[in-house]
Amino acid sequence: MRKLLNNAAYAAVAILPVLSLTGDAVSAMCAGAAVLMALLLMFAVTLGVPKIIPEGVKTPVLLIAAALGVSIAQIILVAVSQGSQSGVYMPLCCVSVLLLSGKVESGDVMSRLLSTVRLGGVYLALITVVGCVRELLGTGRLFGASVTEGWIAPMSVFALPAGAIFIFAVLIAVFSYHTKEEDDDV
Amino acid sequence: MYDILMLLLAGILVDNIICVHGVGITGGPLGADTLRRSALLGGYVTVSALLTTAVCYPVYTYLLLPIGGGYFSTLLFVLCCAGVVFGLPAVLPRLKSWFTQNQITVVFGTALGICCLAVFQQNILYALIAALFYGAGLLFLMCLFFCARLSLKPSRVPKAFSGFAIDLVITAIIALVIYGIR
Repeated sequence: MRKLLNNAAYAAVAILPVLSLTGDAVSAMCAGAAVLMALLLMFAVTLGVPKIIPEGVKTPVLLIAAALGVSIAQIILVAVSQGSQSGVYMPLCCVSVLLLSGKVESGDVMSRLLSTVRLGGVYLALITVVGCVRELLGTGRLFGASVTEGWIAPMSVFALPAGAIFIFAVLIAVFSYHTKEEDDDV
Repeated sequence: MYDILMLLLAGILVDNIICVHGVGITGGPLGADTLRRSALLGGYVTVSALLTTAVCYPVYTYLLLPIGGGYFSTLLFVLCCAGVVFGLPAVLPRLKSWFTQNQITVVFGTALGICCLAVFQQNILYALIAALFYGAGLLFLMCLFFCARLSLKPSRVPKAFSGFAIDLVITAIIALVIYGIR
């Protein structure tokens, strides 16, 4: 539980660079999927060719892997959403990948893979939830379908970056509160 | 001159990179521990964004787009930006002592966001001006954030909100205030 909370707190910080992609649930989910895909591609690169890559150029090679993963996801996103404007900020997913990759546990192949999938999964879940909350509160819709439209006035502040930052502040406060509480229990 | 002044004001206030586009939010909380560091971080982002845009704009507009290679834009932007941001400390070794690795990653993210926006301008001059003024907007906000953080120092903050969370609340309030100017 503690590991999951730590992962979630770290994922919340890693989402901040792609905040502009969390305006609606679909864009947020696509960004999360792009990051998960890029993380897995990065893992495959570090696993497949660890001896070929010299230590000095490891970071650029990993960055290329991350950018490739995000590019593939961007192509899929453009095909699915037929030219969504959020695609403009898709390259920023690489920053999230860079932040998350520093948190992947070292060890044997299986534990590294599990750690990568867990981090990417938590990231995907969290960014989708944030996207859903912003879309629901900001426009009264969820995945494009009307939910609270007509009986609750949309709070447009949540559609703005300021509203998203508030959501993240609360999220990080909740995670840090629970982490501190568990520390006190131990 | 009047147009450039208006563009500068737009970059700082009505079209601010953090408040309106939501790019580079981590810059404030992570970089504004002193006024000097805030200004330096803003300057680092501005220079990086300018250099990245100067390289990316011609390659993207005159090379990738005509051959239908727009899909490689992410690869181009990320590699150029990484080259500039992570390469500058090699040219100016003092940068390494001024900033932590996390702050350099924040600079990378913000410069990349600015480049993604600036590269879609109608010509290279507009693209460079946009990159410069988006950077100036970030610098202004970083200094504003430092002042807000300083005035909040004597206040008692709830335990759960202490640290990064309260920094985000300050950023959100500033973002809301600046968004109001629109």
